[in-house]
Amino acid sequence: MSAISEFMRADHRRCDATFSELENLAESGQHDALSDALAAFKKDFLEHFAMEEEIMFPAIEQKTGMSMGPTQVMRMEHEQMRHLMGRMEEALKQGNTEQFLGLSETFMILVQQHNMKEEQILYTMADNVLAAENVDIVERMKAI
Amino acid sequence: MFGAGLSLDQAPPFRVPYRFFISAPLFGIMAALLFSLLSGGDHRLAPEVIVAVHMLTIGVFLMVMTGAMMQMLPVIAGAVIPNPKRHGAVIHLLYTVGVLLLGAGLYFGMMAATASGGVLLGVGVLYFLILALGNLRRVRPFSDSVRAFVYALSSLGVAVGLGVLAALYYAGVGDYREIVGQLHLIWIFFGWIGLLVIGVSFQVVPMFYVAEAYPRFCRTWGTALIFASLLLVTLVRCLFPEQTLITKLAALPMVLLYIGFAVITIRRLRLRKRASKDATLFFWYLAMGSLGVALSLWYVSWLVEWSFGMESAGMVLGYGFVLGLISGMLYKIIPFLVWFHLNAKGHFDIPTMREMIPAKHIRMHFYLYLLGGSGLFAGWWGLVPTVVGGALLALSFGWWFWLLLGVGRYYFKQEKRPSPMAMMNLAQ
Repeated sequence: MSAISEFMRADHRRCDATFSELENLAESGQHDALSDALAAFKKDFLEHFAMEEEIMFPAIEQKTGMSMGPTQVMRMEHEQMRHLMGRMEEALKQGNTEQFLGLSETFMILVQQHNMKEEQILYTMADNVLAAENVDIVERMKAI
Repeated sequence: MFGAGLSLDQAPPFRVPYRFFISAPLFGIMAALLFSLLSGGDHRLAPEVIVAVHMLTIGVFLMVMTGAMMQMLPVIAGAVIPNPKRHGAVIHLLYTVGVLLLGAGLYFGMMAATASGGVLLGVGVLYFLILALGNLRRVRPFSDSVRAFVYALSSLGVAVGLGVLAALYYAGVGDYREIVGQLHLIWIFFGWIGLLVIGVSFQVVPMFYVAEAYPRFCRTWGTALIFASLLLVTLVRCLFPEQTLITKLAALPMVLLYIGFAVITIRRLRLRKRASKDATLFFWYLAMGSLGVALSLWYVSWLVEWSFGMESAGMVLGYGFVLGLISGMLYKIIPFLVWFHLNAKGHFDIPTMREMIPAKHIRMHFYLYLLGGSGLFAGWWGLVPTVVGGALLALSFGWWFWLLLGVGRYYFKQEKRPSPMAMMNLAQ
């Protein structure tokens, strides 16, 4: 019954762990490792977005008939995060660690309050409205 | 700008929580000034002390926690509060006028002011409780944090009821003042404040510090057990109006549960994956350390009737645990909200939250806060004149106010700029 929320929550925690490693590298000034770590994190987190935006959100929207509802707000927040990610990459290119850490802290909080909303509301909603096909949805998300 | 009726667009406008946050240090300054007016001798029940304590618990603690709840309920619990601006303004006004009247009434011995202040506060809290619980009622499923919030809010209801009773006894009705006053304190600190802190910690510690989640047993049963332990204390205290070993033993489960919580939280923070040592982390350690130390000291001193220990424990609990945690959290919450709201309006060129309040200014507050705490302690025990202790406290609250005011002013200035992307992303 709760396959979707369990899977997605675990993915959030996985991204959190990668992200904190990234921040730790920045704090200790390991620049070479940092750009690789940033690239790896970016891949993970874009994949997570893709799972939601390409598979879960459309499925919820189809079931509920709400395309301007919660999923739209989540997409907007994804957009904010993509934007911040771009600025973090720029800061890194310019070698500005202070700027990078300021951005990464903002990013972290933005992500966490976003995750809270998803975990509290959206994933529960997904478990409910997509109860019949939840295993299938998870399989399709894993395939991304 | 997200359009109307989107159930996840739940962040209330910035001014809703900020109104509460910015008022807190001002009441703190008032409490500090009152403290400096204390004269020597036994001042435990001096009007200055009672008023200063209410300035802190209502003007600072309740103020910030209500503001934070208005912000958090939608995000953590998914309970959307309709018309947050209007409700926020009404509650804030009731609290402010209520606490000022209550304070003036208690200080100058004016019954009418005390009573009307008490009534306004009661109405304000009731208004907030109905608003919060009414909106939480619709939340499904009940997460561990939401359950903690419901227990915390219910405790606030009990505490305010007891507070009203205490005020009546104060005015000379009935003679259970001591019992009621004691239970009032217990429900405020270990019901309302403690359970709210636990509910928030369940979310904040694992997510923002990337630490391991709290143990399952602690999450599912911890808050219910604490609530039950408060009922036990209350029941036994009512059955045995004389303070005996039984009434003291009845408080042991509550004390142990909270010490357990403090220990688990410190362990979680120490083993966190996010190495970043920001200033808020110091406030967290200090707060949890204070909780554990205060409770152990208080309980042991209570058993042996050692008033030095009990009163010192009270100061560590209020100043170290509650105020410490609140101070630390606001340095994350306010800059983030400023960034969040301005960003959502399309202002992408704004500084990061780290730049809004420089880390060295927060560290400065941490030191001033420690200094203020020493001033409180030393002044209370007559090691320095209370004027000195009060001045140190006022300095700490003043610096806090100045920093919070700066971020707020920045926000309101930026907010007036035309949004560069009124329509961005909507078409996506």
